[in-house]
Amino acid sequence: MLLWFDALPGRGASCSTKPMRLFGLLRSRHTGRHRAFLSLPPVSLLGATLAICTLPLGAMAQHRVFPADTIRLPAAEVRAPRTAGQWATGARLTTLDSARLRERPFATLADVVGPEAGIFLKHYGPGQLASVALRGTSARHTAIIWRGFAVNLPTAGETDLAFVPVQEAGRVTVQHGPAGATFGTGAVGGAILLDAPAPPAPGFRARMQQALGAFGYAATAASASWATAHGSVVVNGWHRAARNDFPLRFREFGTWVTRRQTDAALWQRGASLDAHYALPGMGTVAVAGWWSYSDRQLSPTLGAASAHARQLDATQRLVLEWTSPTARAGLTTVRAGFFRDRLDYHDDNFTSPSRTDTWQAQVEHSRALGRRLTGRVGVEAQQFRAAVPAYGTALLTQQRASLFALLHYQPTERLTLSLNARQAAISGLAAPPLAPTLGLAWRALVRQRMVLTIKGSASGSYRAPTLNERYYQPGGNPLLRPERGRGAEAGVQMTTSAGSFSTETELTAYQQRIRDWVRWAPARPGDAIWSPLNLLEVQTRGLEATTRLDAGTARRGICLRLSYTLTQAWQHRATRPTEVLGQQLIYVPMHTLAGSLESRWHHWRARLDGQWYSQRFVQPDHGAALPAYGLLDLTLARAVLLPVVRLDFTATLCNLTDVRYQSVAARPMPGRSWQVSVAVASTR
Amino acid sequence: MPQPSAKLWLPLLGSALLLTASCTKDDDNSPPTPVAGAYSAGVFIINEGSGGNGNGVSFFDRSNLSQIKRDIYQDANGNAIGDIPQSLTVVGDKAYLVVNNSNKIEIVAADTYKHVSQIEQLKLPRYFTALSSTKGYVTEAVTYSGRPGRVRVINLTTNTLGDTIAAGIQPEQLLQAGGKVFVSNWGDNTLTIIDPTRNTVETSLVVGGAPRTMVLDADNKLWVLCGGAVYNPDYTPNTAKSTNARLVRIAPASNAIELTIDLGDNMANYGTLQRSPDGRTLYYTGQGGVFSLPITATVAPTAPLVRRGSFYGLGVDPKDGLLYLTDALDYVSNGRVIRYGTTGAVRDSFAVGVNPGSVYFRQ
Repeated sequence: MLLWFDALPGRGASCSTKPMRLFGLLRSRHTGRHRAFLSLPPVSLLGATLAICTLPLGAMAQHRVFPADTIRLPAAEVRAPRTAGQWATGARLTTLDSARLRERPFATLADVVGPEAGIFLKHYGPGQLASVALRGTSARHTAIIWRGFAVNLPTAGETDLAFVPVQEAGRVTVQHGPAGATFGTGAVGGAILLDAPAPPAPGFRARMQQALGAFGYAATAASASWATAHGSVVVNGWHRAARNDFPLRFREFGTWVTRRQTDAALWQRGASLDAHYALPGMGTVAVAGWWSYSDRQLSPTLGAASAHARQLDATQRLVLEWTSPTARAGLTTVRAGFFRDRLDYHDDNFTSPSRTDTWQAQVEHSRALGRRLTGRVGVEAQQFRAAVPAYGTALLTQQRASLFALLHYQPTERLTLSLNARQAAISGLAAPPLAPTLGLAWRALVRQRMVLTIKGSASGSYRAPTLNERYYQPGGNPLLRPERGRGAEAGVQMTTSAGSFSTETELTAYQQRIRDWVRWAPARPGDAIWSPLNLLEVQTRGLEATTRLDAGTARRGICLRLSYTLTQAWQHRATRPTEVLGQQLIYVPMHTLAGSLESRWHHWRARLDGQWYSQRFVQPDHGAALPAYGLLDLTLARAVLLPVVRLDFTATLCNLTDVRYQSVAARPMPGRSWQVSVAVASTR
Repeated sequence: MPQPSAKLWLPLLGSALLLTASCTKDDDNSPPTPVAGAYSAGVFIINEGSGGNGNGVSFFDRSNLSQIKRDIYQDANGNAIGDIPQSLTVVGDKAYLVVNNSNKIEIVAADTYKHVSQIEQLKLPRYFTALSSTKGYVTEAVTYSGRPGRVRVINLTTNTLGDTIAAGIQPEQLLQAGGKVFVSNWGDNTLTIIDPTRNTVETSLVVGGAPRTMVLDADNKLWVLCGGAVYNPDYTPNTAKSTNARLVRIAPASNAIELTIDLGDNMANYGTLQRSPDGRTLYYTGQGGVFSLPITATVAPTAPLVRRGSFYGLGVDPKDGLLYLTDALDYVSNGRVIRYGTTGAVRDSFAVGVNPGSVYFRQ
């Protein structure tokens, strides 16, 4: 059960979708004066198409400004109470533009997260491993939460974003900064939340899209939805393949030579399901499924001989959820999930199969504890069953559990405070530290056309050792301690609106200290075998600035989005004298710029996307670095409306200026390339 | 998968487990024209690199330590040498650089490091030795799955591959002595002894766990340093083949083991054995630093000559007997070379490339 207002403007909200459509729907509840929705008491609304229930509302949605004649309903949902907005008071969130995600349903998060959220990703090549790191941390410090459950592989502790298709992701929100209290292990640098897509429009809808691109790229995506007043079903399927034989130009023996990339082809397919049904008087049941299969060649580094490496990934995920009817007694959500992950690597010298089954369950109960105070308690349990030959045992079982409690307090209309805490336990290990978060959001200035919010939070977070870190033979370190993070952030957020012109600006400063940071190294100097060791203490700090300007109407207008981040991260202390201290960590660009300019004119849309990353050191001692690079993508789209279908034609020129760059050393990326697609969607 | 180089197996865990690194810039300036004879005498450090970064050959002239050249192959040719250079052998006016993860031997002019030719299609090659001006051997690990490796015969006139000679698991170094070629099988507990006139295996000699580096002493006895620990392909210890670390002295003519010196069970498998210029002193690295012993010794030294916790490779300059100990530090940053006198006193130190694995000298 959820309320989903896809069209709400806000951070990352669609440039091309104006709020008017939504407000047209809601205008019957017109109050006659501007009110931020925060001032509304908890509402329960069983509408004609959607069942909604709003608990006290989080900071995420508090800062938007709406026309004075419009009553606001939050983009909150009860479906996934772990959704960022509700409880992450004072945190910085970026919601990826859902309209833009819909434009490329077969793209993966690896393609969209970087430019959309202004985050540097390590791309090992097109379609190859792509790992995300937030705020100067590493991929293992980013929790990926799908429909309420963490999906980072329990073996490696991270997710390859090149294996997460946009269509199956649903709604994508990035929470920058530690979120251990809300999301548990791994949410040290932040979290990426993949929530259920918006409930579809009533009736039956179908959409199909075909894309073609350079270097043998072909992708197909199809989706169908059906919805009534009581429930909805959305099914998606997709397929994509690419040769990725892009040209490489390099020096060899004193002359320039051009060759094509080899061993980089991929074949991927998948399907997903999201459905919900409101049982009369008995709450709502929901189901989500995700099946993916990927077969990839892994290209060698430049200069290395191909070992014909290949990786098979297969994922089956199913989540069932029941949410109680809204009552004075509060709201209960029960959720159970089963994930099966397969990752088989093999090359000429080496075979490494792995299968992991994860059973997990969550029970949460939220209730109002007075007019201004809301609380939630919950428990979560997971069991991992790993069949990984490298662990030296046929089947390895591990349990984790955690208790969490959240308090949300609004002493005044303008002030929101929250206190979250989570305590986890891991079988065979000392308990990770308590992960608390204290958050604050204060709408310091509320004017007719402007809202200024001051926000801040302080958090503790942790990362439990992964199964590989504990059990991989050779080297696994069963006694590895969890990494522990402590950090704080503060910021200011301002939204303005005047007629058809609106802006949204946010500035955040943060710092975090992470202790017991794990690095693989020889357990003893000179040892042939490396082990994960709690070697480091890392300090991070930075600034994040984003702004969005939107002018015009749905039919004609422009939208400008800009973001800049300053990230500093360094080893503050180490348990070995050979470690380099005080220098910017490898693969953390100090400066990142991202932006887009979109112009819409009737059925035409043109957009220029840009991203720029400063140099990344590739050796801790800064003995080598990859140069800064900037990329521009140009997209032109045209919609054609026919009586019962809508056609969307899209053409994109990627890497417009043909920059030759490496995101990861010795892993070249393609120069200029193109992609075209056509989509057919039923309109009634 | 016994005794793989960390840099070989780590990438196999998937990038999930590892930091990778490096810098390859597409638009480098034209390489400077090599100076004839620039590298005819001096010290060469093989930097194995990390994830495609920081690898290459560093060089310095003994008389001018401040002018270290970080990557003379890149300087001469404009491109990186490849992934994980492993060893360097000079034959006449050519240098043979075995590049492990590029499956090739890169042949350069020994004085200029300008590319001459390359021998490709090898399988995880490790070390090279020339039996004549026309014939060479290279060891190939072939695989890390616990299956045996091999020695490949190379025609040095045409730079083409010839016969293969079966070896043990992870054949590593080659040493010519007594008209034979001794091959240390690092993933095993044997030496393979080859008759080079027929390119056939004469015999296999059990010496101890994980034999790797070998030297010939002043009395033409062959010494091999065994790290001790042998692993099964699944990395469980191979108790049948593992031993304490040991130094083994062999008479090349008879293949007889004349002496075994137990070094205890606390050795690193990356231990390196070298000899003094006169061949009367042996140096080896193990836990605690660099140890030395005369070739007449029958028991292990109790204290190290150089006490140091962190090190990687060892070279001894045949010109003046100075010790060159390499230190990979954190294995992803530039490493260092520390020079010691024969008494173990530190002379000086300087930065080289990433993972400096071995040191070579031209007089």
